[in-house]
Amino acid sequence: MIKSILIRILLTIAVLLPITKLSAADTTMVAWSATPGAWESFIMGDTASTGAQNADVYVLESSKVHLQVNILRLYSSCEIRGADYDESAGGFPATIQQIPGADGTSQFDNWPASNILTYGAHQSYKLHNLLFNGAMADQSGTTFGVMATYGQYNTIVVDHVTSVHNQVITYFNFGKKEKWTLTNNTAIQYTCYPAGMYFGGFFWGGGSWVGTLRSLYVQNNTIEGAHANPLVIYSSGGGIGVPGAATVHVDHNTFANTIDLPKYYRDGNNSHHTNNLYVNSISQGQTKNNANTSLSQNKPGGLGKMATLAQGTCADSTLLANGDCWDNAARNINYANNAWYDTPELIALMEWGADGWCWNLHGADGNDSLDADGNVVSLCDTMLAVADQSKWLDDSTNIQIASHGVSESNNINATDLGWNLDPMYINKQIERNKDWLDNGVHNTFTDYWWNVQEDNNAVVVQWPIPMDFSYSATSSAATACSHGGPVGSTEHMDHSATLGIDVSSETLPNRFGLKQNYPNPFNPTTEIAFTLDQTADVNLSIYNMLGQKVRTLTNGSKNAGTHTLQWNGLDEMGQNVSTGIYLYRLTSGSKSITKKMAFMK
Amino acid sequence: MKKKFRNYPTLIGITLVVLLICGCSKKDESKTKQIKPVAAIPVENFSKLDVCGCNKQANIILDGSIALRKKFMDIKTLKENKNAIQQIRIRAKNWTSLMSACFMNHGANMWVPSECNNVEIIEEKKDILYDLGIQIVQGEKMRL
Repeated sequence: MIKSILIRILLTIAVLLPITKLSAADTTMVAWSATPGAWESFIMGDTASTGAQNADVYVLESSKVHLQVNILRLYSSCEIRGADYDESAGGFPATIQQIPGADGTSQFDNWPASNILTYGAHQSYKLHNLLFNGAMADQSGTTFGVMATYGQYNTIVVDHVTSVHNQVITYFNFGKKEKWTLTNNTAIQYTCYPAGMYFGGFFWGGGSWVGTLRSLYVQNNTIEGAHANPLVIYSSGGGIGVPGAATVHVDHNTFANTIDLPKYYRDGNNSHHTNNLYVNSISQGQTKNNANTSLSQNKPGGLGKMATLAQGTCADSTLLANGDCWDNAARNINYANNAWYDTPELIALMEWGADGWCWNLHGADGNDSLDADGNVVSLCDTMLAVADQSKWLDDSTNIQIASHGVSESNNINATDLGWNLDPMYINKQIERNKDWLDNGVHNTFTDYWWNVQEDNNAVVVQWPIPMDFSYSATSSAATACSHGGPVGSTEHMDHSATLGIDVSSETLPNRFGLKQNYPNPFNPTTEIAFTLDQTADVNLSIYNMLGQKVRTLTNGSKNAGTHTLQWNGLDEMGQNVSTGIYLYRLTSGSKSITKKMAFMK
Repeated sequence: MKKKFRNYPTLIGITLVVLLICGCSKKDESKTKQIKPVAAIPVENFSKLDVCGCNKQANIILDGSIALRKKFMDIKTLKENKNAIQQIRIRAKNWTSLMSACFMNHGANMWVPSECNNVEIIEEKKDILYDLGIQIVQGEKMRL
């Protein structure tokens, strides 16, 4: 009896210990200030003599616009979080918006001039529950992006962050071997630089000119209006078994009205694209132009939405040794259970110019280009056939599928989508593309403010976001994901699809193991990784402290390797679980491992 | 006589120390002289480059930065040389100006490999520089 009581007391202490730690976690509230630049100055100044941030978490007051004058530069681990808000009472996320300095010019002294820059090695940074308004408060321009990262071996998590009116790239990685997780975010209504084209996206950052990755998870995000490829990952490692190879998993996102391909067409190895919805991808259409005028994608025969072209041969010994090169014969790229659809407005653009059109070629100075005889050089073009513009895969990708380790399955053209987005947003995008395509110049859309929300106010973000990215429940896309639910992001769509992602790693472990979840404590998502030394039937489930099962994350056969699952804090019924300690147990045959984690609201 | 003889080792020692100091000073001076100065290049000057031109300029900046860094035994020694720091910062500024112009004009086409656009070598040289203590991608505000 006494022994039993002692065991219970010890268990209680064991359970409460993390809570004590949670309470001790250093969280600093950053109250709103009418003084522009006050909040970022406070955070940058709140450091110890070692240079480390004094607080683990900085919480910005919600339902306020926090004006930012200088770039927030972070050199050590911390989280920038927006306080909770009551949307039903008119509340909105803590909003960050750039304003010029006292001299009337932008004080963002970096390229890229993003709101936040992170540095250091082996640091962890997190953004959560924030709204970034890319339109500068005085209407003088727009902000390049939300975040750019430097340093090496850092972990970056961006969750439930909305960005509106950003100019170019929302998240830009220049660091080495960084680990990125982008979940539940919304990035819409990109503005671009005046008259600009083909430079803009959600996440750019794998290889060569930019940084390199350890891993990239992009899950349950909604991306709309990006000016080029939402995702650019050129190199993400050499292939299965290569040390240092990264894994890219793009799951359950909605990509809409994106000017270029949803991802860079050479892509990195070890990338998996599942359960995504692509509506009006390559919204510029594709022409036959071969004059290198960069007006449009001009690959003969057209590019498919999921174009994956051959990588160049990588023979660099250093890169190979570091696992930063790809194996072109075993690329391990997979497209499964995605849905795509081109709206009638985009099909009309694809039909536009079928009879050809001509224009004078301009030089870099904006004047007509002249040939050797002094004659004005003109170019002519036509659109490709609609069938070549509106397709899932092209010939180049099929070659990669046939013999280079690229695979695809269960991808559908959801012509019955019944998309609910106001056509206003589609038409504006089409008009701008058409304006560019007719002569390579934005004659009409010449400034930042070409794309705004329904109230026509380019500087104040309407909240909740008035854009509806949901679609018909009777669409084939509504049951097309790998676990039977709808494809696409749940952020702007009310459904209860499970959002577990499972990414096999490249190195085979030598034991059965369960890792500590990360982040921990968490809200709203966390990653749980486990390793198998051989293929086995496994069950990974979550229990509350009463021993009741809350959710089964996986139950079935898994290959040898490391598997990472995400839990989004929902139970089997799709309901949010309450704050507290949860157990997660990995079972395989007679083997079982249990660990604890903390969910905080 | 005996006294003079006893002073020889001291004299030799002093001479050696003087020679050593002079030698070191000359070495430092020569390093300073060998730093090839570059000027900050405005973004506009890069805006007419095609992708191959971007790659070429990138290699020039990276090679120049690696060469400058390698003139010094380690990054700590470089940091003691104000001229070298200034020159590294100018090169880093030129790097971000180049990137700004090239990305704005060519976007993701920067990653289309060709005979004149070896994208792997860019990554390799950036890594070499990084391992030498210089994160050129941070631009002129880089922490040294």
